[in-house]
Amino acid sequence: MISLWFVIGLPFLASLISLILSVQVKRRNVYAFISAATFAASLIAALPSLKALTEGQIPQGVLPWVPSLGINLSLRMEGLGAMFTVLILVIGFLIAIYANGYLQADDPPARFFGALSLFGGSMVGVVLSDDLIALCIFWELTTISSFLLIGYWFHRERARYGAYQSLVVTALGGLALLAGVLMLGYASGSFEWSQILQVSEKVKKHHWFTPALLLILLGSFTKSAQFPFHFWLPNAMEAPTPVSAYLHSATMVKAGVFLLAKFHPLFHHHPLWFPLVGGVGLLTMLWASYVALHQRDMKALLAYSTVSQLGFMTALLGLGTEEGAAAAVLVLLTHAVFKAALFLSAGIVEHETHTRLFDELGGLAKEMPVTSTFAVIAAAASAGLPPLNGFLGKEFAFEAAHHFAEKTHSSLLLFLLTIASIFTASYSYRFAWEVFFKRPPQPYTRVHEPKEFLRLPVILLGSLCVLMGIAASWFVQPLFSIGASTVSEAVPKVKLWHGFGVPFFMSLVAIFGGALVMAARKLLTDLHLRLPQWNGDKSYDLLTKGLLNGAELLTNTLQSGSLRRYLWITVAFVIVGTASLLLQGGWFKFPAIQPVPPTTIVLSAVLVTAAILTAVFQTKRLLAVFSLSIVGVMVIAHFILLSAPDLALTQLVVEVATLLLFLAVLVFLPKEIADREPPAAKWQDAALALFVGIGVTTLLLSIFAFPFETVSRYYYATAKELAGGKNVVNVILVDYRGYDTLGEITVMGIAGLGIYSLIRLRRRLTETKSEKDEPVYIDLPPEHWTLGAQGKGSTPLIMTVARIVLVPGLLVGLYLFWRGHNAPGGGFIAGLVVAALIGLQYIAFGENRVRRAFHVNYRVLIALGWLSALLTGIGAFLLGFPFLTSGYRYWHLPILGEIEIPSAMFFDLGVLFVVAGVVLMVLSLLGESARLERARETAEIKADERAKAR
Amino acid sequence: MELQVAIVIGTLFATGIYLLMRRNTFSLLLGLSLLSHGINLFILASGRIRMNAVPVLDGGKVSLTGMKDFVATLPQQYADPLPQALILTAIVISFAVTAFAAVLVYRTYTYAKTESTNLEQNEPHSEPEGGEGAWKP
Repeated sequence: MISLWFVIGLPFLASLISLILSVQVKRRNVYAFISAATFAASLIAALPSLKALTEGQIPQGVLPWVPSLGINLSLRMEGLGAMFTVLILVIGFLIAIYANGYLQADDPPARFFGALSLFGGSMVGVVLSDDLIALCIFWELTTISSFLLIGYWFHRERARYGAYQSLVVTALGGLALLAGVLMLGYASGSFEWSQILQVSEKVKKHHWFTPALLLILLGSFTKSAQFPFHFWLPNAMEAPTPVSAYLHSATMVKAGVFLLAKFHPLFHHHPLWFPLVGGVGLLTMLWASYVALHQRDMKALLAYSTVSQLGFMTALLGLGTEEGAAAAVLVLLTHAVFKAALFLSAGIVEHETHTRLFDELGGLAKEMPVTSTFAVIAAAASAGLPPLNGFLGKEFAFEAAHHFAEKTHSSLLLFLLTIASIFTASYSYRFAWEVFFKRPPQPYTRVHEPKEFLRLPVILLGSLCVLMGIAASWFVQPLFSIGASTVSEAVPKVKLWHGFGVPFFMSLVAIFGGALVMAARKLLTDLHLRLPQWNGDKSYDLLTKGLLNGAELLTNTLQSGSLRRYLWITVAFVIVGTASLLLQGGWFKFPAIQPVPPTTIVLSAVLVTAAILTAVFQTKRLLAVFSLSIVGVMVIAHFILLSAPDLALTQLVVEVATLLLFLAVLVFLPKEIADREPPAAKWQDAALALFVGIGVTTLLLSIFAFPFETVSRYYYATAKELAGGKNVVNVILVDYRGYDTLGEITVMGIAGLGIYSLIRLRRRLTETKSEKDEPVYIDLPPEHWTLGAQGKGSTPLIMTVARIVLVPGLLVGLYLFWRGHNAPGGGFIAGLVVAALIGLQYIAFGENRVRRAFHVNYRVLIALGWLSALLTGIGAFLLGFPFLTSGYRYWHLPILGEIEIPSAMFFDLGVLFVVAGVVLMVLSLLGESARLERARETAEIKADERAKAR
Repeated sequence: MELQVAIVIGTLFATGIYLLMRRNTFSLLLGLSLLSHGINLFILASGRIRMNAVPVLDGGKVSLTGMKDFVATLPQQYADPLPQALILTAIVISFAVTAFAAVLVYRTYTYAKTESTNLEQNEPHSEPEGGEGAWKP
């Protein structure tokens, strides 16, 4: 059903609009209007679905999301979800109106209402998702938006603490929920809740049934602030009060209860269900209602009272009976109304008196009679006084508990519920008494009835408390029937009067017992303060601090700042990993050796010697670079020996470029440095290196001894037909594995741009300090830069050679590029040849002159090359083939005869541009740097001379 | 051939790692180059050693009818092209990385005036003598 997408989408849209508007618009009314209007519109959009639901259909909508994993964004409006949707949107609407009056002029409105709408949308998402993965995502979104709202006044330390704490606790639960959901999905073969339910017998027998239950309970308990995770909720009261009313009493914390109710049909026969859910719920209810009585801060009292009521609902669900679950749904509905009213009136009180402490309040019934009337009604509903909605819910719940007790022949449950209700009644009395009736500690000045924006929602909700009680069949029954249909086959009738049975007796005890406790409150509080206090915050602090300290310790140990240590750890790890694999594979086999001419042994020997010499000469740098070049040449020889002409060609040009690069860097570095490393370290490293070398040799020999199977036959068999090329290596690069190549030139381009930023971005700040510490800015002199002859241009020989070689060389490059598809060659090699040739011009004529003659922006070249490669790929895409599919055509030309143009050629051209661009950019940048360096030194010398002359 | 190739590769790994662990940045560049050589050869050799078997098709040998025979004789006729294609990629990438590292070495030296790879406070740095041995134009 299409309207479902509007229901869920509109609040998100409002959030987005608020975000965009925040740049320009500062008026609070605008944002409040957007938020409230979208909540209302969303509610209207939900009406057709609700109507369909009452007619027995179930509105749904599916949007494929990750179909390969069976994850869809599927919405399904079941009864419970529908009830929640109405609750979320109606209260959201009221809260948006209230917040417009509540926020002060200096509170940024876009951030508040944007997060509020985001929260509303996510919450609707939670209750309407049929797909459990989608549910988890929306669940996390409620966590995040709640974090943003609690920390709204982030200049307050307590607000930051509360926001962070709630994020940690509920996100932890969110992860547990995700894990549980994944287990359920695995056990059932689907993530759609409606489908999981159909195979529930299979799921119940699966060995992951119990772990999934435990994890989902963890998610639910953290969200609903059940013991021992309740401690975050009182801290979350640092949020602006409309947020507390909306998130932390009426909706978000009830997501945990919603989850329990949703999963109730699957899990409620599990033997752990009653002890865990019922037990935790009862404990939370008892403990929190007792603690609430002793709070000094009225919002803290309301927070604990919410925790307690959530415990009540959890306990009712924990009974595992359909009646109990239905009772939980009713309590949830009634509690949402009276608790929202209580929070909002507490917000008004705070707004008018600027305090939340009971000690500083009192007698407000005289100052603001209207607000007080409705606040007191809500408090009475919370206490469970007839004929209000709180009484209605409680009676129903007690009835369910009574039936359960009869069935189990134990009245312990009834006893505990009564005790908790006594405390509930007493703190509700206390709230009403201390805020509105007792004598104020000092007379108020300027305290009066609030603005209409603030008062209207309270009046509405307060009236609703009465109406829901006295006209239950109109104001409760319709919504309750929808909501309870998910958990209970036959939906019971709600009625205010249940007769003089056990439930009524329990209510009576609670109402009068509560009054007694309230009277003896001072005594009890004194007693309470003397008892040892258990504080969830302290455990939380200890745990988080311990984690952070542990992480810091670990990081400092591992990240000591010594590259050598990192390498040791890495190498040792690789050795252990590889060795264990080698040992599993039956240790070592010696392969059959192919005979070779003795000349090749000489080549290998030269390579080994040169490599060792490179290591030995490492402090004598020119010698080391020379040895390294010999190694490079010998590696090329080995490529030829091993039938890899493409590699040999590529390596050849790379060697030239690398040599140029190293020499260019050596222009700046000392040619030789003193060896100051302790010999012990060197011996240790040598030993490790030797071990690695022997290990690699052994590993390779074992690999040789293994039977060999390759996928390459396919390439050989199809290279000509599919890609129109005979050089299989090149065909693989530009065609079969074109994705890899595209990725690779991307890396190349990024490296090039990284180099550019490293050198260039500080270029404009080139400066030198004179004696007076004043920066001396210098002009770039048009000097030549050369590697060979320092400063004054290079030798005529090199200049001549460079001139002669340039054009034929470029033709060779073109030829290599052209034949790449059928013979050794291709974009890489051609690109490097071009780069080497132009690099030679740099050496011969200096960076400046080449740049003037050869006016190319290398960054543009790189970008063009990359785009050319990408567009070739996309071209195939547009013609209906997979990305990077190659096509080719043969053309008849008058003189050249038949020539072939594969589309891969344009791809290869892109490769050429990128490679040539990067290499040349590095060379020219280093050249520029050398010129600048020299200019700077000249300037320094001149400055010194000037100083001396003075 | 197998044994000598294995020893060559082992040496390249050993010297490469030894140089990577040295304390000055330029040796790191040298080590990086040697190690890249070693790894490229390793990948090539793991596709087995085939001499005189260049992976370029001769025009006449491929036809759809003779495919079965052709495929059966492949390992003798041609070297495995897949590792070669991978290495071609690797050569170019490792060049890009080396180039980046080289410029990094240069920048570290000109900016921070150090060639040490060690940031630990308690160990003595092997810093170059403030430009004493440095090349001057």
